[in-house]
Amino acid sequence: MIKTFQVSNSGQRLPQENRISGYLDLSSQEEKWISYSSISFNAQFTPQTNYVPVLSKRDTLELARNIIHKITDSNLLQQAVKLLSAIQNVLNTQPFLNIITCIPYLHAATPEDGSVLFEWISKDYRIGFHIEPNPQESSWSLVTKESLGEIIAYGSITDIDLRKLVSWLLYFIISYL
Amino acid sequence: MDYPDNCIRGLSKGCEITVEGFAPEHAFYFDNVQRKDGWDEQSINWEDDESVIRFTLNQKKENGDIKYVNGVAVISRYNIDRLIDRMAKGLLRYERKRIDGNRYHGNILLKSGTSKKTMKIIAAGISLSVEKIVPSTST
Repeated sequence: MIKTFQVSNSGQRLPQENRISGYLDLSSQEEKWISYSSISFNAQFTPQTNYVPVLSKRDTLELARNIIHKITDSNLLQQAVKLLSAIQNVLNTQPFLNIITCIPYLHAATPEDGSVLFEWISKDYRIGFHIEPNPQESSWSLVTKESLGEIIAYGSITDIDLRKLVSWLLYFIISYL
Repeated sequence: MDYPDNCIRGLSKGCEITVEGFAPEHAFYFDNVQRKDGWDEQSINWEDDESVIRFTLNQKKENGDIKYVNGVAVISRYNIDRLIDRMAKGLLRYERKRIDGNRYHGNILLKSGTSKKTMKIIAAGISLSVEKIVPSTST
């Protein structure tokens, strides 16, 4: 069963009956109100967080969602939605939910080579997701500067557990906030 | 051949600078136009003197429009050398290649046939080698 309810920016204690399993849907986020659809509170909230964390207008996926609406190729769109859903799902869990507004924007672009690019960018690292017309070529990469050990990591994003990958990458991001 | 410390990469339409002031990774993708010598090009200008940034910002397309509407990225050659040493030996190099009307011109070169996945990691590495962005004054 899916329940939808709203909380104000100042936070509101949630009735016990609203603590149901599901996912967080921020697609209809507005300036003052956040629409939650069936949030998994029991597993992901500590006792002191009976109050829903306040999410500001700042949303790491805001820019990426804008690109999604411009993708016309159904294959690319399917892959991109799958990736963003995985990211959104991970962001709905702790510890990310409490610091969601600190996570950099996920930038998005549609390069001339026909791919879709999502990027978390810092002065010291780049995390990229490359959605390709051929899903077997779709990939992720993490490249860091000397100051962070010159890490070069990469791999496929097809036929893997995207949530685990995204979670690992987000832990990397928050460790350098 | 002697190279200066930095090279300049123009940011054309579609390569908008992010709100945080970074150039996007795809600004450093290589043209998939294979040269006869087996290398793919990424056009740059070498920072031989202080005027090259202004020169690059003023470069125009055939129709007279400004070529790099999103400005230019200044790339550290030291960081490119590190990238080559770390992961791209035999895959990545650079050259000076003067052309008519542009004595600064050169290329960063990627071995033709390099997989798209690898090309994009290298592009990410180059984008991380950017020392500064100079926005276009035309926008």
